[in-house]
Amino acid sequence: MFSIVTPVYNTDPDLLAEMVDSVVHQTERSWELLLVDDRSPSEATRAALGRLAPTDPRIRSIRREVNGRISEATNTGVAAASGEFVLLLDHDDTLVPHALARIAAELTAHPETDYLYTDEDKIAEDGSALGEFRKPDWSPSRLLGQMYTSHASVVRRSVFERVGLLRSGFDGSQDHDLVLRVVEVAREVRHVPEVLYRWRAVAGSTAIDVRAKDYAWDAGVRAVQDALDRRGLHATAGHGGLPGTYRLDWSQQDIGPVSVVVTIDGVQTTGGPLTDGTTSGVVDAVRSIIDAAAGVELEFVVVHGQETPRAELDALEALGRPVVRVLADPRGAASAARNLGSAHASFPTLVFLDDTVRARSDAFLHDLVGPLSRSGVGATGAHSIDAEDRIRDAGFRYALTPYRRPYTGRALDDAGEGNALYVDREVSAVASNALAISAATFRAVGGFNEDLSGDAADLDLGRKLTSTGLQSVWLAYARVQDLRSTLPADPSDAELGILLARWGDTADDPFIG
Amino acid sequence: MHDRVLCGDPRSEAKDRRLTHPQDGAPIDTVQNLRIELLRVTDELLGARAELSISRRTVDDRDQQILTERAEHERDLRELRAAYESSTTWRVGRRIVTPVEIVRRGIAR
Repeated sequence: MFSIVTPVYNTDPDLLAEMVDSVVHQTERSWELLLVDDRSPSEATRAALGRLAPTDPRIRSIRREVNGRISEATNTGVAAASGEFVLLLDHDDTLVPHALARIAAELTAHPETDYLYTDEDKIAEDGSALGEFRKPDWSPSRLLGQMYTSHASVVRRSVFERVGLLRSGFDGSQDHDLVLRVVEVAREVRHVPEVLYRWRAVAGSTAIDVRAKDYAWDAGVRAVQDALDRRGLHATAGHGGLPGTYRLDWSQQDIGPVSVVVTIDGVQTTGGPLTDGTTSGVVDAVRSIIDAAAGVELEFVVVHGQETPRAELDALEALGRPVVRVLADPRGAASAARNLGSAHASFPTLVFLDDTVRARSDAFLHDLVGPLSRSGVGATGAHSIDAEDRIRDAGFRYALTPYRRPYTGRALDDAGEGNALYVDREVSAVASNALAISAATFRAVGGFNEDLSGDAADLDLGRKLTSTGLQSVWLAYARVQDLRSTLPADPSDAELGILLARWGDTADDPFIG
Repeated sequence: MHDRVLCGDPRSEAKDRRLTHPQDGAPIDTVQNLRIELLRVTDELLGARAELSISRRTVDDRDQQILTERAEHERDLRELRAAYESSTTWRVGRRIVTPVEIVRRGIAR
């Protein structure tokens, strides 16, 4: 049975009735609705509660003795609940008629589920549609960047109680704080990719503009920081680039020594001349990393071709860092060059970098490598912009027929669906022009497939990581600029054949629709 | 700064030829070359596992498809038979009988 808990405070009687109506008309009949009046001064609201509660024996109205705000009011409802699962329903929102039935079916099919979320849409006060939010499958990195699971969420009541209910110190982002704690103990988290919840955008609601509740954004920063501290991660939470988003600063994390494997464009099959007309920018690439890696022990493994200007290679000596030069097999592609470089690296963390790439954010190396310390993270990729300040790479989507690069070419200030371009998030693969991975993981998955190049090799690496239980994470605030004037070509038919034979195809990527 | 021993480079001065690359016979004579060979072999292994998994899934899917089609076929057959037995009647002499009764009871037309 579902216990639907709804705190009520001065709610418009019509909206309250609409919310109750959406519950009463659920096709799934096993539910109770707990309406918790948080000491509403409004007589109209109290009268509405008095009228609505007796209309169905499964509706219970509870009046608190004192106003406790959202967290306390919700906890009052949970304490009175008897269902196996708790669904938090805001007082002015609605469920679609088959919402509980669909959720019940998913819970039956996956009995270890402790937390489940669905897609949602936003509606205006007059009921007109404002847009759907199609969410990714379970994305723990994204949850640290924004409260993306939101409505409708269902928590097993025993887990809700075990983590200590809602905490009033996080009011405004109390649900985010709760979910961050719930997923730390949940046996399974599931996503139902269907719109089952209608979030009403009324004045002052975060559904319209998160800025309407600045205190909520501040509380969110505290909730994320608390999660980082609980998990023993040495990162600092801060406000992200858009309201309701958060960025993690990893500059205090000891990331250990790093081997940076730089492949030079001249040995790649996928590149072209740089926008400044030169063919190699290895010195500038290495210098940009050194400038954005304060206090990190670095080694550079530079994989170059016969045609790489000798002056460029000699200039590396002047940078004062250990440099290993490796001459690449001229028959090899970029994947082979990267594997070759990795074999000559001596440190436990590898960063692959094309010589066309320049670090463009402070503490870039910490921000790129730091998240590897999180459990389940196999590789990280940078937010890559092109020479004209458009997005070049923001994580790959695995769907081959047809293949397409998501986000490439969009404006730098494009928020992406659900602000996806302003938060760190799991993706099917990350681009290898600026990619971090532990050397042990890289070897365990066999590095890059040398029969593949460009996007195909990156997609294959992502799939290999996934097959070993690890994820690729795209980082919104670890930024690089790639000066190449061309994009990698789409995978060839032969490359698609290899990918399809190994990994099959799917119509929907789990993280990018 | 120096250039290290080169993988597959004809200028390699490697002497130990006990391990060679299976495709071109190039010596695997350094830690680096061994690492590269391990990467290649591991990649092949993971790729083969993935292909096997895909094949198994395909077989499972087809088995399930066959079971589903068989169940649908049997259901169709049952429905056809029920419809046939209940709705079709024949006049045999003065009697109204179904075709099944004609067969089972040996009623001559």
